[in-house]
Amino acid sequence: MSDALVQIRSLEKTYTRGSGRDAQAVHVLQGLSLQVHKGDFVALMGPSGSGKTTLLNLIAGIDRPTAGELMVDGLDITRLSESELARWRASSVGFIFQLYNLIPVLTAAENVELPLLLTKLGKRERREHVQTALSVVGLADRMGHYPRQLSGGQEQRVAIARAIVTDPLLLLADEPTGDLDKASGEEILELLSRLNREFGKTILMVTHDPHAAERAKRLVRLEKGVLVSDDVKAPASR
Amino acid sequence: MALRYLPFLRRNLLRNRRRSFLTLFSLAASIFLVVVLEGLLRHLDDMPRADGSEKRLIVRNAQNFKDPIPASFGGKIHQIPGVQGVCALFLYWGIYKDLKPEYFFPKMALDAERLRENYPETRIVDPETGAERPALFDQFVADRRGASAGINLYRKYGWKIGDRIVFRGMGLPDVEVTLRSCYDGPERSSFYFHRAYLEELMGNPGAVTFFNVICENAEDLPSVASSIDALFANSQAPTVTETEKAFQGQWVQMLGNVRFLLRAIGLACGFAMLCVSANTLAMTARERASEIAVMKTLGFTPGKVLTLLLSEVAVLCAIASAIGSGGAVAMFLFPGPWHDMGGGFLLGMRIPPDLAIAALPLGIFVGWASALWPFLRVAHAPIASTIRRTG
Repeated sequence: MSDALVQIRSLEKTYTRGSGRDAQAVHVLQGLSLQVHKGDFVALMGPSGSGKTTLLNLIAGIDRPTAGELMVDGLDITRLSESELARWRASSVGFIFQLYNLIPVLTAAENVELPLLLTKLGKRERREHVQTALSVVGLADRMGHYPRQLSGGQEQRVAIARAIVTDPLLLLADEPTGDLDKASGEEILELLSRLNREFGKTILMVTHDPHAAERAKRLVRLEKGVLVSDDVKAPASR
Repeated sequence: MALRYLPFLRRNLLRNRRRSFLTLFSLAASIFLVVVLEGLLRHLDDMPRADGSEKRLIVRNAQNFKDPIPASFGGKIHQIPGVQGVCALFLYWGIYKDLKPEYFFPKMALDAERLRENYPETRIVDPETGAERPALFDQFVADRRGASAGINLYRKYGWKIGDRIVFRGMGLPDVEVTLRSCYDGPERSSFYFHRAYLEELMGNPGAVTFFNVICENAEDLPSVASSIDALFANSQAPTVTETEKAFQGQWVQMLGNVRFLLRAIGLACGFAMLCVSANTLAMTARERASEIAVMKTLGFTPGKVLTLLLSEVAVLCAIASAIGSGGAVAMFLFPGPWHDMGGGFLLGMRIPPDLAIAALPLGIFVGWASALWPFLRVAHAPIASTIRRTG
C-alpha cells in the first residue's frame, strides 16, 4: 500500500504494574497490525482498557512500544531518540486531548503559537499562521482571550487550532468530545470532519461515543489489545 | 531565537504573583544577609585607615594585649632614630550610664597634647555645625579634666560642649570629665581624656596600655619596630610593635571567633535560601508537570523544556540578587544608625563592588542548584503517564 501513512505490524505494549515480587505484566496491545491511509478519518473504539489510547500515544510517539513495527510516512519512529521524536512530533503530529490542555497563562493566540516557536518562522509569519488556524476553527475574534474566559467547546477549538497550526501529517484526537456537552461536541465533530474533508487531514480519533464514531470514514474496534473489527463505511452512511 | 520565549517566561513568572513575590523576597533577604556578612568580614580584614596611619606603629605588651607597659618606655622610644612622636594611651574600661550595647564606645586616656600630632587626619570641629574650630582643642589640652569626643558620639547622645560626662570604672576609678573638644575624621566614635588625670586617680602607677608611635617616614616602620622590641626584649615588659592595621586586627580577634561566627551565619543563610527555593520550585515543577508534558507532546525536547524552566529561575534569582545586593550596598552607602553599631567597627564600611556583583551569579547558582533536580525529573518524565496521572 503505497499511500499508507501509518503502518503498524505486530505491535505490542506491555506495562509492568507494581514492583519487586508483586510486579505484574499487563499486556495492553498484543500483536496489533493496522494501516492508516492518507486522508483517512479513523475512529478507534472499544471498551475501557482495550488499548485505544495506548495505540494513539504510540502513533503520536509519546510512548514507546514493547515490540513490533510502527512506521509513519515511511519513518520508523520506534528507532528515534527522545529528542528526535520530539522534533518529529513538532512537524508531523497534531494532538488533541480530551481535557484540551491549554496553557492557562497564555491567551488563545499564544497557545496556538506555542508549537510555532519551535520553527524558524518570524514573528509576523507566526502571527499569520495563528490567525489562519483560529479562523479555521471560527475563533478569530477570541485571540486575546485566556482559556478561563472561553467555554469548553471554544477551548477545544483552540486546542484544535494549536494541533493544525503547523500543518501536520496526522491529527490524533483522544476523546475530543468526551468533556463537552452535546452541542459543543457536535461542533467539534463537524470541525474535524471539515478538516478531513476540505483540508485532507488524516485523523485518528479515540472515542467511546458511537455517535462521534459515525462521523469517521472508518471504524476500528479493539478489545483486550487486539483488533476485532475494521470497517470502512460507505460514503452515504457518513 | 531566545527572544521569542520572553513573553512565555514573563507569563510563567507572574502566573502565581504571591508565590513569586514571596520567593523573590526570601531570596533577596538571604542574599542581603550573605552580602552584608561577607562585606563585614572583608571590612574587618581591611578596616579603613586614616591618612597618616601608614606612618604609625602601636607598641603593646608582648604577653597580653590588656597587660600594661611602663609609661617610662615612652621617652626611650622617642629617642630611637626615625621616631617623630610618641603618644601614650590607656584603655579605660568604664561604663557610661548603663551596661548596654548602646552606651558602649572606646574610651582612652592619652597624652592630650600629642593627639593632633599623632593623628593629623583629625579635625577639631563644632559638634553642632561641623565647622572647624581649632580653638576647642586648646581648651581640651588646657583643662586637665577635659575631654574630646568624636562627632558621632555628640550626635548619638545629644552632647554639647561643656557637658559633664561620668564613667563608672570597671576595676578602675570612676572618671568625671567635661567635654571641651569635638573631633571629626575617618574615625569619629572614640572618647579621649587626659592620661595625667587618670594616672592621678589611680595613684600614679605609671602604666599605659599601648604607645602610638608616629615615624618620620613610612619606610622606617620595620626598622623602628625592630628597634623598639629589641630595646625592651629583656625588660620587665617585653613589647610587640606592629603597624596600626595589624593592631586593629588584634581588636577584631578580641571579639572572639567573629570570623567563624559570621561565616557560619552566612552559610546558614545560604542553606536556608537553598531550602526555600528548592521547596518552592519542587512545588512549581509538580504543579506544571501536566503542562510540561503537553509542551513535549507539541514537540518541545526535554532539553528545551529544561532550558525554559531554568531561565525562569535565573530571571527570578537575578532580580532577587539585584534587590538583596543593591539593598546591602545602599545601606552602607548612606548614613544610618547601623554605622554606630559594633562600637565603631562599622565606621566607613562599604560593600565592595566585586562582592555586590558576585551576588548575582551566586543567587542564580543557588536557584539552579535547587531547581535542577525537580525540573530535570519533570522534563524527562514520560509524557503518556504524566498526562494520564494529571489529566
